[in-house]
Amino acid sequence: MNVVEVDRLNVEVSRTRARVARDVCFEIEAGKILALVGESGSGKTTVAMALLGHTRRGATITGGTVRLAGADILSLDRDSLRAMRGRDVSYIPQNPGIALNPSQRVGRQVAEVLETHGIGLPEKRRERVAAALQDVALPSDDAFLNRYPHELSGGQQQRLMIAMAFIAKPRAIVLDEPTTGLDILTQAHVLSTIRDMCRRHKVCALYITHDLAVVAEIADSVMVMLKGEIVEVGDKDQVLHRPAHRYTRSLLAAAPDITAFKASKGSARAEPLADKAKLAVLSGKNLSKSFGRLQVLHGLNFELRSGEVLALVGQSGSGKTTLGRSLMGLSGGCSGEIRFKGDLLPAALFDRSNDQRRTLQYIYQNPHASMNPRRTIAENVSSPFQHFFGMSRRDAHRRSVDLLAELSLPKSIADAFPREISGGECQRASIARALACSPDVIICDEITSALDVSVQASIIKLLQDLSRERGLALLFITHNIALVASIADSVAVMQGGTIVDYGPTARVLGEPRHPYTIELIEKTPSVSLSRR
Amino acid sequence: MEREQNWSPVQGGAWLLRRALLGVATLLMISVVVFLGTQALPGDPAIAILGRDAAPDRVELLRQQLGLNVPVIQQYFNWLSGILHGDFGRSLASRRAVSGLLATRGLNSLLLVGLSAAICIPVSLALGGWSAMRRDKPADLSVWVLTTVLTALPEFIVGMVLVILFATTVTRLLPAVSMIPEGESPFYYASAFILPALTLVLATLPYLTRLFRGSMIEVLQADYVEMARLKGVMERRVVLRHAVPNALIPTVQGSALVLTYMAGGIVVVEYLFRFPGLGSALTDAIANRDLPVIQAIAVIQAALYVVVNLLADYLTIRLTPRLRTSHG
Repeated sequence: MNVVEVDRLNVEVSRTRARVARDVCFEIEAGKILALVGESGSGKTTVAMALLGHTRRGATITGGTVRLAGADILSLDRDSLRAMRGRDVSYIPQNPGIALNPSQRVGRQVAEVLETHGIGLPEKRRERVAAALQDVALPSDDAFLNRYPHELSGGQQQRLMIAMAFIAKPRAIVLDEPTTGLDILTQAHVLSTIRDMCRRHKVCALYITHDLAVVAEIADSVMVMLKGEIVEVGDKDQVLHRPAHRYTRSLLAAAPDITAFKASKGSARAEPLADKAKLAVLSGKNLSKSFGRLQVLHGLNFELRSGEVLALVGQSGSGKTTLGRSLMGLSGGCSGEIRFKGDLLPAALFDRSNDQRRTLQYIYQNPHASMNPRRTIAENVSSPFQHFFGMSRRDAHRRSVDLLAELSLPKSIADAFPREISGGECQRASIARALACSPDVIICDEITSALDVSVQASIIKLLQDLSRERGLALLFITHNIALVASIADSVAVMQGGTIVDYGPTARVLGEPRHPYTIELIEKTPSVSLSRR
Repeated sequence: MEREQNWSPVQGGAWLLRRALLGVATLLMISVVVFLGTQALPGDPAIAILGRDAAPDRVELLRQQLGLNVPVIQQYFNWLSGILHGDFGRSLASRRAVSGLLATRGLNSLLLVGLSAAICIPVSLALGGWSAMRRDKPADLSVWVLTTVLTALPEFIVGMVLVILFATTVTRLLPAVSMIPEGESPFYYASAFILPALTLVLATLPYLTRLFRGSMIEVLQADYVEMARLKGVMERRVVLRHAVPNALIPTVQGSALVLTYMAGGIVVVEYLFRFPGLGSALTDAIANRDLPVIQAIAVIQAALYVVVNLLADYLTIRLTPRLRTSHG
């Protein structure tokens, strides 16, 4: 029996009359999970929101029907629609951190669903909230219910949202990239919670994601969306393994896969590094760092040779970014020895010479936030030329335009402001800015985690080429192990501020020794290893 | 990463005590500045007050009254210990104790500012919230135009227009001059408060209205407000329980700014309506070069600033769980 039936749904942007969803049709059976895949701007969220009869500011539903358990949602009046939301169909947002009211205790926010819809007796609600939290493996004591959202970890927040979504026993649930901000172990836990809950309560779900590996993990069937249109629908195995549409194939090709290195990269990339005699460009010995009384790095050792890509993986809070920043000499640096081509580097950025600063560069996760918004892209990229190489404004501008072109960015980008270009283009520009310094080492801090898979693939390709052609050494910080397989020569696995596993990629991922590495690899979803 | 403890009353008390001590330190610094700026200036204050042609014996008398014949440091500490005992010296103009003189004036001003704030803050919240919920619609635009016009008008003009409308030419409903005879309770002269309070309200209303409108608009777009709607929560409750509490946070600091602005604004408004408060006392004292009165009012104003800001910070922390529950 179909719980959700969507027929020829059309959504427009009111002002420009641009269609963000065009003749979208699909249905979901009770207890099944339909994944909706597509890149940012494809209209995924718009379609999902329509299941709740909701559109974001500036958009209008211009045609089609949405039926939920027989009721025509789009023709309901305001009060009946409100009565249905949260009770018959609920929503789990992408970022629980901002979807929870910061000034309300979490228990109250869960109980609000029951109060709003007058479900159960008021004196029984406390018990029901507790039961809902136990369902998602959260503590259910008063101390926990009385916490504020910021006192919960990201994973706990998302499980709280799941409890909130299921508490009224809805018929359908809409999930909007619910694991995007979570690290792999937390993601694995949240995914299994969602799957269990849907099955146990016979709830059907529309699961939005851009991550095909997650689809392999959770969905029954898959729907692929491109520019507001559904281009392919089908059973999970069929879509993932025998894709019919060109676009689906390109998405699959771009998705990093943890099993990828075994096929090609593992052996091929390891060879040039066999040259052990080569001097390390950057090395750290016994690096430790404390914030106040809290020690976050515990005596780390590593070596990075020119042309080598060293991936630093681990959960959030494991100290990856702290290590990256400490190497840069930011936030006061760290204790221990940092050597650049054998010479000792001062710990703090302020004590380093101009040349020492130039040679180590850093690229941030959010490209838009790391560019000066009041300067054009070319101006942003040209400042290192002026600062480090004393070029005139004009020469620096010319060089930066050339450099942007070398990174295959269109000509118009040079004079655009950061907010006018896409995340992928902006991240390329930040790579250009780092290259403008002619560095020997670039530290890349989660630089692709905010990008779509196909854009991510092109950035990874760019970095690989750069490291090969220019002999650049890269320290690649990520929580995405699948990505590591496709880019890194060697891997350092961090847990709780120590490196627990360190070696060539083929060894660490192929024959993992440390239990934590084994767990990370096991919990990483993969298209080719779709379990279940 | 998780912080588990809530703010216990003990920690809250410790915070308040620490901030209060900092406030006292600030006031001490201000007292030094006030003292340096008035009494300890190079040159002789007695001559500055009496004029260059003053008879030498009168100058000497004044010097004795002001205690100018001892070293500057000692003058400061005499003055300061006087203040701590509630003794601000004697007015040069009326020969009365400054503290007695300012007690009734201070009460009048306090009532005036209190009344204005009690009107301004709720009205701005209502108007700002109402406007935010009708964003870009005619109602919102008219509020915007109205507040822009009011912002552009100096309070002196606003006050005069009010006098023309309600006290002289157009109607004569209210007194143009706020006469409250000395020694009588201001509560018997309620009509004397209306026009000055209205002027202060109109001067500060636009700022607070826009501030709250802005933060309401921001909060109404927040994900947690959308989430509440998607949970099926009634719109009324979405606004009152989810939007307003979070939009209030920046408004607390704004209200503190409005209160301190009003405390300064009384100088103009009280002068305009001849309202017997601290502001007109200050203008009179400056005209008469009444040094002890000027010093006293400056210190009282500074104390008010410190207290209001302390209260605003305390309220902000009470309203923001993130600040309340963190240790650092």
